[in-house]
Order: sequence, then structure tokens, then C-alpha cells
Amino acid sequence: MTDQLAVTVRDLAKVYRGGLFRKLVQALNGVSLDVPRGEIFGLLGPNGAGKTTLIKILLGIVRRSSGSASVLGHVAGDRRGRRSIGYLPESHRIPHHLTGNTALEYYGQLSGMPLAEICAKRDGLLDTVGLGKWGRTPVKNYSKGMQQRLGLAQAMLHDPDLLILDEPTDGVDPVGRAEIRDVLFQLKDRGKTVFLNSHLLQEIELVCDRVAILHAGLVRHVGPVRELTEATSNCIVYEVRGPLSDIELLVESDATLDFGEALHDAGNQEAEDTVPSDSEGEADGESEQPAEPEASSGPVTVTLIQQPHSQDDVDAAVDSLRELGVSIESMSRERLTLEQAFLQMLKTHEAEESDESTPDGVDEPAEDEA
Amino acid sequence: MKNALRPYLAVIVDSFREAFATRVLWVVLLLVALLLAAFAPFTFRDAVAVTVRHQDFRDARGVLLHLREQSGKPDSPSGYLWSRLSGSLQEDVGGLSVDSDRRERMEAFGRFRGELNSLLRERDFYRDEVWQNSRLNREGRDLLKQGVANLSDSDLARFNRLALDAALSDFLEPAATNAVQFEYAGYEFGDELPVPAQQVREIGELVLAFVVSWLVGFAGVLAAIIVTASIVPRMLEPGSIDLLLSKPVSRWGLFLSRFAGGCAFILLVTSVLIVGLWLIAGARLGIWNAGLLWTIPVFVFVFAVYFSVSALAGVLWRNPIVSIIVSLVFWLSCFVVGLTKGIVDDVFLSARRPAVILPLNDSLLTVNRQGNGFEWDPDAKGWQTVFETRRRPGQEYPFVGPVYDVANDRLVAIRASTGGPPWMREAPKLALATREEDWKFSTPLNVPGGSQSLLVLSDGTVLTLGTDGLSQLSRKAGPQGLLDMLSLAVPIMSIGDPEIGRFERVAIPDVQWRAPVAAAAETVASSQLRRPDQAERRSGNSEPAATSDPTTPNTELPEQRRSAPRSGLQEGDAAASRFVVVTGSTLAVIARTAAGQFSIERQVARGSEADTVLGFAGDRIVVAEEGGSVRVLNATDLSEVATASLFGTNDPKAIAVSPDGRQAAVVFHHRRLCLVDLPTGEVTEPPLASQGDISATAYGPDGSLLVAYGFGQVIEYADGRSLEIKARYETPPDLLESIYQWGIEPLHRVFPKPGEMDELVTWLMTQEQTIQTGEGEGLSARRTVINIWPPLWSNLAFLACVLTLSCVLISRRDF
Repeated sequence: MTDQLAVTVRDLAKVYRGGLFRKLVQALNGVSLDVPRGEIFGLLGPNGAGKTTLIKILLGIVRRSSGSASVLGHVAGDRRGRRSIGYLPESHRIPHHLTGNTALEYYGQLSGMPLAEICAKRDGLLDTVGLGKWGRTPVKNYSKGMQQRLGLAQAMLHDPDLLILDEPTDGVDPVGRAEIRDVLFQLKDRGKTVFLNSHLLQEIELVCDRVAILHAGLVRHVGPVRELTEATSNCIVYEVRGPLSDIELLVESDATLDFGEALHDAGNQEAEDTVPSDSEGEADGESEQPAEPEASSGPVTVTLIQQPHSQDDVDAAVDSLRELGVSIESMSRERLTLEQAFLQMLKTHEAEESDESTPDGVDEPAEDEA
Repeated sequence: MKNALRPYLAVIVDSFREAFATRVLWVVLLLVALLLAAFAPFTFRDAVAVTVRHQDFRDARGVLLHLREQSGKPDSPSGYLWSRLSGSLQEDVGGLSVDSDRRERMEAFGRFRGELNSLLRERDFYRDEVWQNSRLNREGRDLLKQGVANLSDSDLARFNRLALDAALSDFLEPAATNAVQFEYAGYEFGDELPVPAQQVREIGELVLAFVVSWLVGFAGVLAAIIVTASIVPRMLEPGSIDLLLSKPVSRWGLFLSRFAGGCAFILLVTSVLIVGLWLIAGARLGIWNAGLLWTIPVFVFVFAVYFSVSALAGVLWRNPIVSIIVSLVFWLSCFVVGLTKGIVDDVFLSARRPAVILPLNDSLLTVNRQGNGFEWDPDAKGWQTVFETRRRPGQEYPFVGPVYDVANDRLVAIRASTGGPPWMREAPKLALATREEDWKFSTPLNVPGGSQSLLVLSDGTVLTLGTDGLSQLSRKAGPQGLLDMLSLAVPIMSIGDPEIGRFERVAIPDVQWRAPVAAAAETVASSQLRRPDQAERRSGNSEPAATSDPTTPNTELPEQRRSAPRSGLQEGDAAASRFVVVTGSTLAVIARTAAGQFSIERQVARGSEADTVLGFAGDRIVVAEEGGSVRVLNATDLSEVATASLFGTNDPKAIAVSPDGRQAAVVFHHRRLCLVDLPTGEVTEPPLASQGDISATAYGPDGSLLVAYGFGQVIEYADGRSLEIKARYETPPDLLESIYQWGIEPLHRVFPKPGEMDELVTWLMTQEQTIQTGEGEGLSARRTVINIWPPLWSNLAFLACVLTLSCVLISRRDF
């Protein structure tokens, strides 16, 4: 039952009053999601989406306006739940008079740990986060990345079942980020649940099992990362070689076909360029600049993108290409990065919203994973 | 339980850690150390009294003239002294006369004093031949035996002073036996002070209490507010508060722990300061006062009150600067409220409080603290001003009395002088007011010096009593003495007035007059009413007259009162009048014989030397002492009937005795009244509405009890037992009084009074519950009642409210 779920949120809404005479701000509009235990869950969304508000409601820092939320079987904000939560806030500020060691003492004691236990675990933990030699240094001498690591250490100190991390790798160099990722995997191996909030989409992609996208106070999508990227991308990428004019004809006639962007850019530049160059680094395969189009003679390699509505469209395109004598050098389903998928999804939703009259648009159905 | 508290203790520990790390603690401790170092070198040691001070002269003007007179006799001490004065001074003094400008005289006198003091240091000052007829005291003689040339400098100076005392014994108070010399870091600090070391310590304690109140209570608290202003805002900063709130701790627990951390920090600093002061006061000045250590929690408490306001501001606005400003505004408003109340009360309104009630048979008079007299006008239903007096600044009540003289239908009082510095004042005068003159006071003659008490016996004899003794106003007038004319100081013999008489010393064998001094005439019950045609106007005579009708309003005559037959007094023994006195530790009943002589009837040792007020009714004597005890004695043998301290250590102010001699009312300085049942000695507190605001009391001629309260209202109760209200003599309050009663005083009661905790400090250090603030001798002088509990409770309530409010706000807030 709910014991399997680390976090449960149902129709959570939060309204802020900006000031006495300012208007109301709807931070969360009815959010629902579940996070099972043992999972690394990511929360994505643009600024102002409500991610931090959601986290603060889970922790009891902010009161919810309506709906329900529970953490580790307790109502969100209940002190008993908080005992097993480790939190790393965004732009946290550990008081500068503390050293690495005393900071862990302080926060550990606040979590209810006896001093002896803290001192026993402290050194190992600092090593784990990569601050092994910096225990005695005052925090004010820490770099941003070191402060982040210390923050992560204090979140882990009391061995919580759930870690809530808001931008854990903010300000950390790539090496450090990799180390932190490793720590998170270790935590997962030990059965802990991690609830991540990040802007670094690459990080989420690498670490999270499932991700939720929050936009304007609503959850737009919840599910495994792969599902997200694959769901938003049903494009087929063709690399074809053949006479350009034929290809252009085909593209114009087939609505589902379009040139890959690389070609368009290269095409525009060709008028001036005499030397072909690999300028754009597009992930979807290399694009060969065609030679100066001399009418229709020389074969060129182009990238075509198709957004088929069904398999029939795909078959038809293949047939057309073959009829024209265009070779299909490769054909694959486009994998968008999370970032592309994310941005695309936002665009879609914004478009949806501007079409519709009511602001409470139909959101993507939250998919429960049992 | 310990586990549950662990997080909160961690917060408190972190406060200290923070203070240590941010160097705030170090800076503060350094300042404290500097302060203590500044105080430490101050000390005093025993010394001998040498220097001639201004106050040592009994008769400043007279001495110069005397020396001038004696200038022709160089072998007499005075003449010799004159010859030792500088030429220019001799000239100037020569130019002085009785009409000389006061300033000239003062200036000459100042120079004279200076020259005298330098002469005292000279080895050739003493001449055997000059002093051969003067009597040195024992100390002087001992020093002389050693040989003047062999004396050390300080001994020499001492010896010269003793010689000077012997030479000018009429004009100079003898030097004190003990003195102290203050020192700072080994250097002498001013002249020696002719007070014994013990007294210096007592004064020192008061000074210390004052310093501690102001230094720590005012400056210290202010500094503490500034230093701790950022404690709460820092905790609530966006980056830190999120992390704290995610921990399994309650929000208000976090807040209170942070608050406690701030208080703990201040506790540490205050302890260092106070313990340091305590050690210095003890080791350097010999003042070991444990009460000083109790001021530590007091100051931390005062700080906590201000800090709670600062913390609330921190919760609301999360800004240290705003917190400081809010705290200062709060402090200022407490100060303004306290100051306003103090000013309006002390400067404007307290003077209106009644001091004496005079219920005459047909009229009711009151005199207020200002010294203004009022008569109740039944037609106008208000108080009409009868006389006004100008008061000296600082003088709390310009009269002794007034007392109603039944025999002569007049008011008798001693009116203190009204202006000038102490050595320039006029002597106090006898003040008389008659009905014909509409009770306006005239001051025909001086009273003897040092008169503190006034007695009017039933036959109209006026007696004054002081540490110099008892004096009686007798009919004879005498010639003015030359000395009287020249004298500036209180004269020993008073000038007489042809009509009224003059004061003569009364010698009573076996009586030593010592401070404290108090007296009360015997109150006689009315059992007879004397009619005008039967009145015997000869003083000293009284005879039984027709039966009484005490409530006839048309009677114009004062009653003649007469004691009911009691032990020691017989019907027809009309010439006898008695009064009870306290002198030093002796209490005595003095009676006047038929021949007009006074003698002690009986006396007893009282067992204490506290100031007292007395009441005397037939066979009971009431003794109310400083320290709060009320004792009832049997007048026949002066044995104690009962004793009680109904009001703790609050001091009594005045006693009134009922005409039937069966009850007495005692008013205390904290404005409460108790009734004493004289036959049994039982003391009770009557549940009057005006308790807490009662200033004076008296019994009417028919046995009614009058109580004066507020700013001049009087209530008359039918008698002291039933307490039925018989009449009210009240006027509606004027604007200022209304504002005070309905606005200022309630506001003051509700407002926290952190600034008035200095009274608590004084109490802790001196155990005094009232302090004499005005001049005057004895218990009738004005006192400020130190009320330690109301400020404590209101501060505590305020603290609880503000902290609760902060906790509620912080619990409900979104961060």
C-alpha cells in the first residue's frame, strides 16, 4: 500500500498572497504524483513551475492550500516523517562560523543524533562526499562546490530513508558531479529513495529512474526518462543519397517529410561558401554539404526527418524514395535528448494553453506506476 | 526526554559557538575587563579628620565678627587666630558689617576657611601660651605629650585641628573621630571625609546600587540589544531556515532555543561584569554585598523583555536593523510612559495628596503636601482654598502638623523655611492660624533649633521637641540677643513675640534627648461638651461641663475635651496633661504637675532605635516603628499588650487615635491603613475601597473615622468599626487628574517596566522598602515606596505574551 510509496501527492494546490494588496499567485494548481521507495525520482520544470514549493510542502516548510501529500507514510510536514528525511535546500547557507565538522555536529544533533554517533560517522561521510581533508576548515573558506558537498553530507548523516535534494550539483565541477552521482547510486543500492530537483537535464537523465515535469503548477508528464524522450519523439531520421532536385520534389509533396535542419542551414550558406565545412554539430548524424547545386546532376547526402502519423506513412516514404532512385543510407528513430524533449513539450503545452480559453488546461494524465 | 531536548540544546550551544567565532563575545568581554580595570584602583582607607569644612561651622557669620572683635587680644586663641590671618583677609573682614552683602560675606568666609586649613598643616601653629587656658580633649592631650615637633605630618594636622576646635568651641563643631580618605591608584582623591568607615560602606552600597542600575541596567541593556539584534533574523535567513525547518524539531522550539541562546550569552557577560564588580567592591572597599549577585538574574530578565520585542521584530521583518529600531522605540515608549507618570505624579499631582486632616466640630480642613489648606464648603460642595504655602524644591511637606489647639480654637504648626542653601536658611517658625483670620497662618516667632515634633496639650500648651530637647511656649517675651541678630544659623534661643510668648527650654531630669525623637499628646475622649458661658479660658484649666451633644451642627464652639477617669488621672485633676515621647531607645510618659513642671511618670527601654510615630489614648500607647511593626502598650506600666506587622516591612507614616480611646488608625507609606483595637491590641486591615491610595487619617470629634485618599478626597465613616459611610467630601477630578487616573496610570500598570527594575536592584542590595527622598526627619518625611512586585509581574506577563505571539507567528508562517 502506501508503505511502498515514499511520497504521495494528490491534487496538491498552493496559493500565495504576494502581499497585503497584491494579487494571488497560484504556485501549484493540482499536482498529483507518486514516488515508490528505492527510486531516484527527478523533478523538472522551468523557473516558477512550482518545484521548490512542492518540495517545501512535502517538508512542512510551507503550508498547502488544498489537496493532500504524504511522505513516508506520514502527512507532509509531520515531525515523525521529517525524522527520516534528509534535505539539501537550493542556495542553502551553512552559517559561516561552523567548520565542516561542527556543521555536521549541529545538523546531526538537530536531526536527533547523539554526538558520539555523529563523531563516529563523520569522517567516513566527509570522505564519501569528497571533503575528507576539510573537516576542520571553517565553512566560510569553502568553495561553492565544497559547500554543496557538505550540504549533501549533512542530508545523509542521519541515514534517512528519503533524501530530498534541490539542485544538488549546483556549482559543482564535472568531476564532482560524477562523484555525487555515484553517491546517489550507492544510496539507491542501499534502498534509499532520492527525490531530486535539477535544472541540469543531463544529470537527471543520467541518474533518475523516473522524472516528472512540472510546468505552471501542473504535472505535465510523469514516467521513466526513456519514455519521455521516446514519447515525444516519433520522428524517423533518414540519411539518403540522391539527386537533390528529386529529393526536394519528394519533400514538397509529402507533408510528413522535411529536411533536417542541417541541410537548410548548409543550403543557405552554400551561396557564399566555396569550401565545404562541418560547422553545425547536430546529434542526428552528420550532414554532408552538397556541392553547388548544378541543376539536378550530382547526388547529395541529405538528412530527412519524417513525422509519420502511422506506419503506412513510413512505408509510403520508403517506397517513394526508392522509386526516385534515392538510396537510404540509414534510417532510425530519432532520440531526443531530455532537453529537446523538455523544450518541445513546453512549447506544445504553451501552444495548447493559448488555444484554450480556460487556463486550467487538460494536463497529461499522471501515469501511476505500481 | 533528553533525546527530545537534544536539538534545542544544540541550538543554544550553537549560539555560543557563533558568538565566540564572530568575536562579538571577545569584544564585549574586553570592554567589561576595561571597565572593571577602571574601577579597581578605587579604594579608601581610614584617616583622621582634619580639614575644616563649611558645614563644621555652627555660626559662619558670627565667627568672623568674633575674631575681628578679639583682634586686640593676641594672647587669646581667637585673637591669635586673627593675627595669623593674612593681611588682606583681615582688611576685608574689617570691612564687613551686619548689612554687608551676602556674597561678600560668603567670599570672605571661603577665604578664611582656606587660610585656616593651610594653617592647620603648619608646625608653628600651636603656641603653648595661647592655648594654656583652653581645654584640649584627651586625644589632643596625648598628642601634645608626644611633643609637637615629633608628630608626623598627619598627626600634626590632626592635633592642630583639635587645638582649633578647643579655641573656637562656640563656633566650630568638633572634628569627627573617624574619617576616610579616598584613593585612586595610590593617589589621594579629594579631602578626607569625616565619616566613619562603616558609614562610607553603607553609602558606598547605595552608590554601587545606583551605578549598577545605570551602568548595567541602562547602558548595558542597550548595548546588549544592539549586539543580539541579528540573532533571530540570521536564523530566519532563506538559506538557513529551510534546512532548520526540515529537521524534526518544532518551529517554536527552534525559536525559543534561539532566544534562550541570546539570553545565555548575555547571562555570561553580565555575570562576568557583576562578579567582577562584586569582587572589587569587596576587596577594595570592604563592601561584601550578596544582593549584588542577585542583580544578575534581574538584568538578564530586563534584557529578555527587550530582546523578546527584538525577536518578534526579527520574526516579522527578518532584518537586524529593523529589530534594533523596534527595540529602541519600545524602550523609548516604556521610558516615556514611566517618565510621564513620574512627572505628572511627582511634580504635579503628588503635592495635592492630603497630608493632614483636621476635623473640627463645625468644619473640615485638610492640608495637602504642598502645604495648601482647604476647607470644605457644604453649600458649594467643594474644597475652598484657605491658605497657600510656597514650598522649597525638594521639600516634601513644609509643616510639622498642623495640630488643632482646642483650648484656643487655633491651628498650631511649625513651618519650615522656604528657600536658599542650607547654611543660609531662615529658622523654622511657629505658625498659628485662628478661625477669625479664616485660618490664615501667621508666623510670629521662631521655634527652637532642631524642633521635629509639635505637641499641643489639652489646655493649649505648645511644646516642641527635638534632639536638642523639649521647649515650651511660655507667655514671657525676652530681649533680643546680639548674637541672635548676627546669627545665620538656627538660633538656640528664639526671639519672643510680645503677644504669643517665647520658647523656653524645659529641663526634665533624667532625660537624655537623642535621635530618634517622637512625641504624642494624650488624646482625651469627649464625654462633656463645654458651653460658651461655662468656658474657662485660663490655660491649664479644664473642668467638667454639661453633657455632650456631639452632633449638634449649630454649635459654634470647639469642644472641650477631657479624659475619662483613668488610672493616674482623677476627675478635677484639671492641671495635669500627659504626653508620651520616644528618645533614642527610651520610651517615656511625661506628665505635667500642678505646679507646671514636667517630669517622667514612667519610662521603659524600647529595645530598638528605629524611627517611630506615636499615639496616646488614656491607657493605651500605640508605637508604630520604621520596619512596619505596630505595638500597643499599656500606658500604666508600659508593658506590651500586642505587636503586629500587618504590612510587612512597609513603614508607617502617621497615627490617629479615636476620641473614645478604643481605636487607632495607622497610615503607612504605601498608602494603606490599618485599624488597631486598643483594648486588645488587635491589628486589622479594613477593606476600604481607597486602600492603596490612602494618604492621611483622623478621627472626628464624634468618633467618626476620616480617611483622605487620592488627590484631596475625604471619606467619613460613621465609626471605625461599622465602617458605614457617613459623608463624602469629594470633588470631581480635574482634567489632569482624570488623565492621570484613567490614562497614564493604567497604561503604566500594563506597560512593562523594564526600566523600573532598578528599584528591585536597590531592594536587593539594601533591603530597604522605602527610600527617603525628601527632606525632613523621621517617618513623616516623604518616602518613595519601593514596590518590587508589580514591575516584576507586568514584565513577566509582557514577556510571556510577546514570546507566545512570536511562536504563533513563526508556526503559521510560510518560509
